[in-house]
Amino acid sequence: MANRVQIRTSNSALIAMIADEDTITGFLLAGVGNVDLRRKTNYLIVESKTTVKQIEDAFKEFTTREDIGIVLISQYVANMIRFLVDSYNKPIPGNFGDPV
Amino acid sequence: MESSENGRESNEGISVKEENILNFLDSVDGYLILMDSLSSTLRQGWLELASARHSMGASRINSTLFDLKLHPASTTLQVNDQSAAPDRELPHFTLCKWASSNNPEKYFEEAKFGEVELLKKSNSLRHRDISHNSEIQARSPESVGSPVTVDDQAEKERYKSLSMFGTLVSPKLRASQLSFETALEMLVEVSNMRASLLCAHDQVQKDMETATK
Repeated sequence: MANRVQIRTSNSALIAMIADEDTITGFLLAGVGNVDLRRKTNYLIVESKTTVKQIEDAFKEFTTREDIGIVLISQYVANMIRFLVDSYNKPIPGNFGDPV
Repeated sequence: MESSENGRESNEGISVKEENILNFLDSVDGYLILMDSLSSTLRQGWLELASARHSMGASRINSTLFDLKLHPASTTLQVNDQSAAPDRELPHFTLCKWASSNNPEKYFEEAKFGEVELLKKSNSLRHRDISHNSEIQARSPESVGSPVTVDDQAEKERYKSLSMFGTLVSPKLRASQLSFETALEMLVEVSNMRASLLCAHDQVQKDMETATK
């Protein structure tokens, strides 16, 4: 897998993230960041001033977007919207929390 | 004869159920091992990022520097085609790291441009040092013939990701990038493993329900 160049195809999907700044920074360095024409990103940085409503809206948006294959969510963030995460049962996008 | 056939069928049924339970337990074991590896890789990435922030300064590594201009993701997922295997209900992901965001023709155009630039540089150096340039001239015909390697393209994309924090970055930041790349590979494996674990769990549940009836 390392250093293999792939040409984008029609069934490619993105990885969305709802996590703290450091985790998002790390995965953006790994190249998963995407910004579309409407300036919408595939990530939400959760800070102290981020509300539960914003996290819920981001989770709902990412799980309904067709171009997203996996939603990565930090454990402590998932605990904030536990009901929403547990009630989600579709296979795609797959979602799971950080182990830490 | 009938009772022996029934006995054989029940033995086969029991062995299938045991196989399902073993598959489930194997999946759980594999999943837990992967999660543990992922946990340590993420910790390493966070530590390296913190070290980079310490050496470069907090103002040079923060979310205000994220690129919010239109750009596609370099690393994406390949989702398996469900129509190709309709009996397979599990989603299967494959990670495509540092995918070329340009079309292939443009990629080759860039490669040719790179070779032309290399030739120009070798010509401009000719007048400086003859002994050194004889090596460069010997090398340049090779470079005209050889295409840009896959590694070069991946390095280019890596550099693009790093460049949002500046041209000169700490080696710790590069190390952090590699750690998170590894974590990403593990995440995709975990996702696939989780899907097969849930499938094995459903199978065991069905077997238990049929056994209680």
